[in-house]
Formats: sequence, C-alpha cells, structure tokens
Amino acid sequence: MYYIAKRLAFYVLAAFVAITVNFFLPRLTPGDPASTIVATYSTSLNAESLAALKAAYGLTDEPLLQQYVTYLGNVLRGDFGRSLSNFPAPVMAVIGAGFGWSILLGLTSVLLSFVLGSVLGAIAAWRRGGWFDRLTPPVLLFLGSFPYFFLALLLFYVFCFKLGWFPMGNAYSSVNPPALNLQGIGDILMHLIAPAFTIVLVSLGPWTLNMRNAMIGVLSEDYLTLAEAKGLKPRRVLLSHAVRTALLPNITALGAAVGAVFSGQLLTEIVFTYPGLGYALMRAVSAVDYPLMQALFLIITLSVLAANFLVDTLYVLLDPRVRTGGEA
Amino acid sequence: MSLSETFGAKARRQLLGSIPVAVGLVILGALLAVSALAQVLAPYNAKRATGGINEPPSLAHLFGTTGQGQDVLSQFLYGGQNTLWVAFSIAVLTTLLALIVALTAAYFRGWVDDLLTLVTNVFLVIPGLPLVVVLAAFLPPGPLTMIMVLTITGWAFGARLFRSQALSLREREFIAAAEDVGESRWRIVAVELLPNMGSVVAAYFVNQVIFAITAQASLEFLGLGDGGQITWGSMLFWAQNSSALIRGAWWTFVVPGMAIALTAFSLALINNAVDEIGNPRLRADRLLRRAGVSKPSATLMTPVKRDA
Amino acid sequence: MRTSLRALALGALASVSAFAVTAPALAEVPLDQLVRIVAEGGNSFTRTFNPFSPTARWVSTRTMYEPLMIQNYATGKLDPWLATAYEWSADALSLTVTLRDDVKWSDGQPFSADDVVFTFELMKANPGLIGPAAGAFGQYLSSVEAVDAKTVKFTFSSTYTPGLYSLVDQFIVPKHVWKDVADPVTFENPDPVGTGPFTTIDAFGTDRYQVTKNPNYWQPLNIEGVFVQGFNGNDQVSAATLSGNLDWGGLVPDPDVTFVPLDPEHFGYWWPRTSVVLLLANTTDGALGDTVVRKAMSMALDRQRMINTGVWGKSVAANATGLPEAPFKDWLDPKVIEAGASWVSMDPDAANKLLDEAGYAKGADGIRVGKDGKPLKYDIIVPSGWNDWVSACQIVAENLKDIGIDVTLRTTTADSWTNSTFTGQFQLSLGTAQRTATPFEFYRNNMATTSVKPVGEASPNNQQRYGDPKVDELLAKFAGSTDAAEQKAIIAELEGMFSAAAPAIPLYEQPDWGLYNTRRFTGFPNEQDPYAPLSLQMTNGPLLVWPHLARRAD
Repeated sequence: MYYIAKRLAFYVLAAFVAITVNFFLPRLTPGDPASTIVATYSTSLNAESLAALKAAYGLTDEPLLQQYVTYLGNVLRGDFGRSLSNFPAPVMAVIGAGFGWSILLGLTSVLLSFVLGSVLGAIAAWRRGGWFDRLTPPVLLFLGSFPYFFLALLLFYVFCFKLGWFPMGNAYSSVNPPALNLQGIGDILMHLIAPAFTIVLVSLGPWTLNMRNAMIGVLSEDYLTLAEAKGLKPRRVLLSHAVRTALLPNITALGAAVGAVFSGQLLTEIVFTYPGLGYALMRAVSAVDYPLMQALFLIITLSVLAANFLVDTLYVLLDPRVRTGGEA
Repeated sequence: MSLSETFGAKARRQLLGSIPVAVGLVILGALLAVSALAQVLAPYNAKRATGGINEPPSLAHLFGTTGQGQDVLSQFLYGGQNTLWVAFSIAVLTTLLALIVALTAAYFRGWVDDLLTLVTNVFLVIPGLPLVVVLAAFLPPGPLTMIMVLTITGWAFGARLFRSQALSLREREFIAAAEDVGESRWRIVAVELLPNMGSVVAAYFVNQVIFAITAQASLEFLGLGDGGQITWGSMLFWAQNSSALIRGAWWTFVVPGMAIALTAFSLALINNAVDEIGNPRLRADRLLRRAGVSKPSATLMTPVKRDA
Repeated sequence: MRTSLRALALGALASVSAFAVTAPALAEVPLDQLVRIVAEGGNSFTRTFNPFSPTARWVSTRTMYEPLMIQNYATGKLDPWLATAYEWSADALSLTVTLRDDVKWSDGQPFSADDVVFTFELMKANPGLIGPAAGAFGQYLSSVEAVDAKTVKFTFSSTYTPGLYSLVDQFIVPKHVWKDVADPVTFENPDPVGTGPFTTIDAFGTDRYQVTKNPNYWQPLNIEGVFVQGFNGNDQVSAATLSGNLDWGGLVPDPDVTFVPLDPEHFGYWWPRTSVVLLLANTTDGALGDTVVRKAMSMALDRQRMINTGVWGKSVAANATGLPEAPFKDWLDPKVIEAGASWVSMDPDAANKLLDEAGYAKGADGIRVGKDGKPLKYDIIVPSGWNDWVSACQIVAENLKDIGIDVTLRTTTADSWTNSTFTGQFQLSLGTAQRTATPFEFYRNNMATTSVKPVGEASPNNQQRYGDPKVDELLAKFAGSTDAAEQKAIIAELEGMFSAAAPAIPLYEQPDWGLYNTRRFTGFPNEQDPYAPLSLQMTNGPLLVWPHLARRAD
C-alpha cells in the first residue's frame, strides 16, 4: 500500500508539472490568440469587438501568476472554458466523442499487435534458425522503419481510395452512431480496419522480437529441457511453460503501450479522418486554441498516467518483491 | 565509443560477419556518403525550379521533379544532409544529456539521485508526441528548434537506462574493490563506470538516431518544420500538399519516404545484431522502448534495487 | 491550397459527443436526398449555430440565417433577399429598406421590421457579436427604427454610402428567440430558428451532420437539405471528390487532368476570380519605402510561374490597379491599366536598370546597397502550410535575387505571421484584399492615412503602412456621394495613384475554388450560367444557389 501511495503521489506531481508546462508554454511566446482568431475568421475587426471577445474568451491582461492560479482552480473544477476555434462550444463538448474513438482505435491496435507479435515471436523462437525466424525480424524491422503517416497515406491511397476496400474515413457510416447490433458493430469494425492495420504494421516488430528473444531465453532454461526429457509433447511444453513465462515482459509493455496510445496514433487518425483526438490536437495547435490545446494535452497526459498507475498496481500484485522497496 | 571497441575479438568477428550488419552498414554508409557529397553529386540547385511540374523520372531528372518543378534527386541529396545532421545532433545531445544526468546521480547519490530520478520519471510519463507538437508550434520553425524540442523530450529514457546500468555496475566486485581502495568517486565514474557502459550507450545512441529521424519527419509532415529548408520530412510535406499521390506523382512521395525508412532500417539492423551479441538485459529494454510507443513508462524497466 | 486550409480551419474543432448529444433519437434523412458538401474541416463538430461567433458553424450563415440583400460577386449586382428595395434620402444621411412580405421564421412566426431593428440593437449592446455590420454604430450609424412592419429606416451620423453594403449584408436573427438569451456572445444555439432554406437538424455526428428543410421557407425548394462532412486534409477531400462522394465543393489539384476526365458529363469546376494576391513591402523599412524599389521588385517577378505552380495555371497576372477584373469591370479605367502595364510585367533587365539609375549600386557580394548604407536583404514571411503562398514566396525570393535583392523565405506559424504582419513588424509578406462591393475599401485599406497604424499597433489593414492624405480626401468625397458617375471618376483617380505609387505589388488573381458533380443534383452555377458564385466559402453565396438546385430524376 505504501508503494502504491508513493506512486500515486508521484503521478499527481507529474500531472501538476504537465498542467504547468501546458499553461506557461503558449503564453511565453509572442502573439495574441484573440486577434489572430478574429482576424483569421472575420473581416470586421474593430477594437471594441476585439476587447469584448477577449473578455468572452476569458483572456485577460492580469499578471501571469494570477492567471495561473485561476487556471489551476478551473482545472480542478473540471472547467476548461470554451474552445476559441469553435466558439462558443465548451471545450469538453469538443473533446467528448473523440476520446472514445481514440481509445477504441488504440486498444484495438495495441491488442492486435500484442497478440500477433507474441504469436509470431513464439513461432520464430520455437523454430530458431529456420527460414521463418531468419526472415521475420528483418521484414518487421523494415516495416517498423516507416513513419506512421507515410505508411498510413500509402494504405489510404491504395486500399481506401484506389481499391475501395475500406471506407475513406469516419468511424461508422451513418450520421448518428449505429445501434450496437451485429450490423452496427460490423460497420464500426470496417471503419477501424485500415487505421488499426497501419498501427499494427509499424509496431509489430518490437512485440515479435521481444517475444522471440524472451522465448529463446526461457527455452534455454533447464526446467524446459527437463520437461522435454520427461517425455512431454513439444507443443505442450511450448504452450504451457515457455509461452507463459516469455509473455511476461510483453504483458508489462502492454500497459505502457495502452497508456501512450494517443501519441502513436495521432498521425494515423489524421490520415484516415478517424474522429479521435489526433486531429483535434493538430487543429488546436494550428488555430492557437489555447483552452482546447490545454484540455487535450491534459487528458492525454492523465490517460498515460492512469495507464501507468494501473500497471504499477498490477506490478505489485505480480511481484511481491516491489512491495517492500522500489523507487519513486 | 565505437561499437567494436566494446566487444571482445570473438564478438567483433561475429558482428562483422553477420549479414544483417553488413547490409545495414552498406545502406547506412551509402546514404551518409551521398548526403555528405550532395554539393558535388546534386545535378541541380535543389531549391530552384529546374524542370517542369511533376515530371516523372527521366534521364534529365533521375528521380523526377516536384510539384514546384525542383529536381527530386538533388532534393534527396541535400535533404539527406539536412536531415541527418539534425538527427545525429539530437542523438548526440540526448545521449550526452542522459549520460550526464545518470552519472551525476550515480556520483552524488542520496538526494541528488532522488531528485534527478524524479525529474527523469516526470519526463518519462509526460506523453511525447503531443508535447513535441505543442512545443514545436510555439517556437520559430527551423533545425535548431527541432534539435531543442526533440532533445528536451527525448533524453529521459536514456537517463533511466544509464542510471540502472551504472547502479548494477557499481555492485560488481571490481567497482566495490576500487571503492575499498579509496579511489575518488570521479575516478570511479570516469574510469570504471563509463567505459563499461559502452555497449549500452552505443545501442541507445543508434536508437536515438532512429527516433530523431522519424520524429523529425513527423513534425515536418505536420507543417511544424521550416518549409524553406529542404529535408526528407519537408519533401514529404510538400509532396502531400501538392497532392502527389492523387496526381500520380508517386516519386515525390516515395523517394523521401524510402530514404527515411532505409536509414531507420539500416540502423535497426545494426542495432538488432549488436543486441544479440551484447548485453541481454538491454535487449529487452530496447525492444520495449520501441514497442509501439515512442517512450515506454519508467515502470517497464526491471526495477533496480538501490542499496540502502 | 491556402484557401482550403483556411476553410478547414473555419469549421474545425469541437464536437458533439457521439455519446451525449444523440440522446433523443434523431430521424436521419436518407443520404441520397441530400446535397453532400465539404465546407468545414476536420471532425469534432459541435452543435453550435451561433451566427455571430467569429468561428461560426458554416451552415449558420449559409443555410440558416439570411441577410437583407446579397452582394452577388458573380454578377456584380446587389440581389434583393429579405429586403426587396432600398432608398437613400437626398442628403445620403438616411437609408430606407423595404422588407419582403411573405417571410416567416422556421418556427412559423412572421418576420418583420422589429427583427431587423432588434438584430442591430443587439449588436450595438454586445460588441462581441461579429457580423458584417459589427462596429457600424461606432463609425457611421446613429439609429435603426421600424417605420412600419415592413420598413426599416437607418439613420447615419455622417455620410458614408459604402455603409449600405455592410448594413444590408447583415444576417437577421429572430427577436422572439434571442430576446430571452442571457448572453448572446456565448449562446450555443443548438436548435436554430432562422429564415433560411435549411434550419432543421435531423442528425448530428462528430464528423458530419445534416441540415434539412425549413418548412416555412419563403422560396420554392427542390432539395431536402445538405449533408456536411468533415475531412482532415487536402488529400482526403480530393479522394472523396474524385470518387464522386461529394456533390458540391471540395478541391482537387489540376482539375482538368485529375477530375473532369473521370466523368466529363457530370464533373465540372468553375473558378472565377474576385480578389488579388499582393506582395506587401513594409514601407517603413528603409529602401522598401521607395516606390522605385517596389516597382523594380515587381518587374523582377515571374507571375506566370506563380500561377502555374500555385493554381495550376488557372489565373491571370494582376493589373496595375490592384483590383481584380471580373467583379470590378465597371470600375476599372483601361487607361490606368495600360499605362501601368510595364511595372507589373516581368522584365528583370529593366528592373536592374531602374535600380542602377536610382543609385542602388551592387556591393561586392552582388547585393544592392540602400541609401542608408544597408544592403537590400529581407525576410519574406509566410505561414507554413499555405502552400500556394509558400511556393509564390519561393519564386519571389528566387526572382529578387536576380536583381540583387537578397530575400530569405521564412515559414512561420499562422499565429506569429498574423501578429507580425498586423503590427507591421515584417519586411515582405503576402496579402489579399477583402471581397467588397466597390473598390472603396481596397484603396482605403491600402493607401489611406486613416488606415495606417503605428508600427507595433495591430491592424488587419494597411500592413505595409502606406498613407497619402490625398487619398483620404478622395475617399471622403466617394463616401459622401450617391452619384455613380462621380464615384467612378473618383475610383479611376485612385487607380492612377495606386499604379503611380505601388503601395502594394499586385501578383495574380486568386481563384475562388468551386467544384460540382451533377450525377445527383443539377443547377450549379458555372461559366455558362454564372448566376451566383460557386465557391462555398463566400458568405451568402450558397444562399443564392440553393433554390436553383434540383434532384436529378433517375
């Protein structure tokens, strides 16, 4: 419990740092979001309107420190203000739906790469030195060398645009979310395949190699040789002993991968017009929408922290040694 | 800290004899060489229009021309120069920064170590790409911004890695012996610790180059780079903006994309082979690091117990 | 595709939670009944239809709320809309507008002069409300009153005849709804009541929505509504357009090659030109303040190459008046255009000669030196991502190097670009003029001392900081006149002054992107039938088009 409390304290601190960076960063650079936004979107700019809009946007000329205190208070109350680039919609309304879709895409692709990678890695290790083992690592390393967006654009162009196998965007066909029956779920899956596949292709390598190397380590251990000598079937040995042991590092990695999902899929979401948070963050940045940017960054950070905390807690359950010692 | 110095003669033979390493070294060497010789090799001024718009590859323009009429081959060469020096600078800086933090922690121990570990962990859990995007958007675009932003966000994992390595080394007998003899801490860090971390540092450095190239390209693709600079990422940005794929001008898109992928691939091949031979602990760390995310959490590491 | 990027920015962000908003099941109208358009960028739409927001949802001012009259940039005429006629008083100090008889709000309530008066009073009381007539009260308007249910009288505090266009362009909101709104600036208006053709929200998703018929629309309509879809980038829009998934709007590169050949019978585009891209030189910065230098710069530029790379050859070089030809053909003085042709045509030799004669000798490095001893070295700034502009800037830098002026291209964020250009803290940059009914605003915003703000003070107009008191006089005369012939003579004089002084360097005319696909719907304006602009981004333009569209009988 002490360990968990300590970790929790650390995460609160990390969140605080993130919130602070997030607040000061945009404000320390020259530029005035209200003028920029009004100028970009409207041809009728005058000093009076500008002042009134600034007030409505919640932009003041107060000292930074005072603004920071107000901001902290608002964040604690869950009040993120109104989006400047989609005024007067509240920031939370902007983020609302995207969050769910980002999580769906992230979970799907991480789980897929995890399962696929572990299976491929196990096969490669079991037949160490065979053609499959020799071919898999370089091929996967090559696929993993492409930047996400590059592969995403190629796949978008070939499979969605030219061949028309998959939809060219969105998370489902209808305007309102489909009913969660067989047809509706199928529709959602159809829209999920292309972006998820991109992420899986790029990220498969590490899972596979990780599993392969862990497996090789485990397979070389004596008790497996012993089990084999005792006459157990090779498949049984593979499944019941080796895989289970070798999976452990991959499972630990899973927690972190789920947490950091938003980072990796940002570009993929943009290319496939998937309604997650990736595009929202990009737009917020280029439209100098401070409130939206801050809320998005905060949510992404909190998700990562939450996932990490979950893994930490699991870790305690899995490895009793940590309970006593451990570090911050 | 060259790769070969850190291994024994047997490992060295193994390494150089490995096909993946040979392939990796050839690809990387070729890319480095042609980029370095861009001024000599480039047939045209890379920034000026020297042909028609989106001309397919021909004898006059081996890799075709861009949507602005520039020669893609010349852009590829100059782009390589601009991309690679930035990537290597980032790798050098993040590695140095990580080493300094780790060794300072290892040297001072106590509260300094606690503090540095805390800072490292905070940087580790704050998500990378979103922070990079936000940072890059508010600084004037250009190579220096790129280096600064990616260094600030990219060093923490290395610090964590090096610190663990230093701590585990410190528990080894020869260091304990050196301590018993009364050698100064500086000497222990500089003479005993540092040289023994060679393979970890080398592997981390190679990974950082990969990280820097991909992250740089991603930022430039998002329009957060300097559009006036020719880099592989900005070539992709321009190809995308002039709808290269839709217009069938695949050469403006595929050339820089493959250049990035091949660089990363060659480095990954080398690193993977080094892993096989080098530190087995590192192998797991390295793979986790690349496991679908740019930065794994601190908790991914095997916890290293601190001496009480 | 700067235009498209800006269009993307227009809609952008925000979203309705797919989980939260859809609580009452909305009846989706089948997609094949709706005109599919691309008008707002990206996803994260929110159900906010406040037309006064500076970032208003696209449909709010193109299908929901309507103005009194519409300046039709395709025909150059002021088309009657909610109002049927206007009349100036003899002293040009009051303007009487007659409203249409048969207009009802979408909730069935009658539309009347009270709504018009209320809208203007609302904007006066809330300066944060943005609209065409924002700020009118501060500048020239003294009161708005309802003479009777169908007549509105605007009283001016000073003669300002160009004010007509801002006043009749103002969209009108219903008094019976908005009078109860606590804060109109932050009012989200999720269930809009308007006079426009499509006001009903049938289905609203985070990345697309549909808006269908106003049951009480005052004109006959042959279509059910519109379907607005969000895209994340140019490629995604192009892919949807080329696949025939859009009926109106969108953008494809080089449409003659990529788009029209796919289905020549149904696919078409029309890119009329209603504004001009200008190269702005900060006249407070040493040699850039010298007309000779600006003109020499202008003569070094390869405008045709900018047109070929930026807009696939679909434009023409701008003339010496700075005005686009099509919308202002009645105002343009051919004599000025002819006399000024030399300084807006490419002739690097003449440019070099001009600079040599003016005493800008080349230094050892081949760079000319100004009279203050400083070399002519400048930065040209442009937001990264506005790629037709960035490529134009690349060409500017290249061309100017040929006449000994060293220009470095610096791409910046849109935020810092806006900040630098508005405050006059830049050397070279690009700009465009607002689309306006008369050339009055163009010359006021580019040459009048009244529009010059000191460097450091932000203003969207006259970024180059060029002012001539003579221009102020001519503009005042124009604003006080209701005589078309007199106004035309004044503008001709201003055109001549622009061509003589080169306060900005006209580059090329900016096309208004517009594409259509007639597989399902017909009646879009085009070159053969230019009854309205085709561009979706022109405010009010689409209102002119909706009644003309009809579903194709299969």
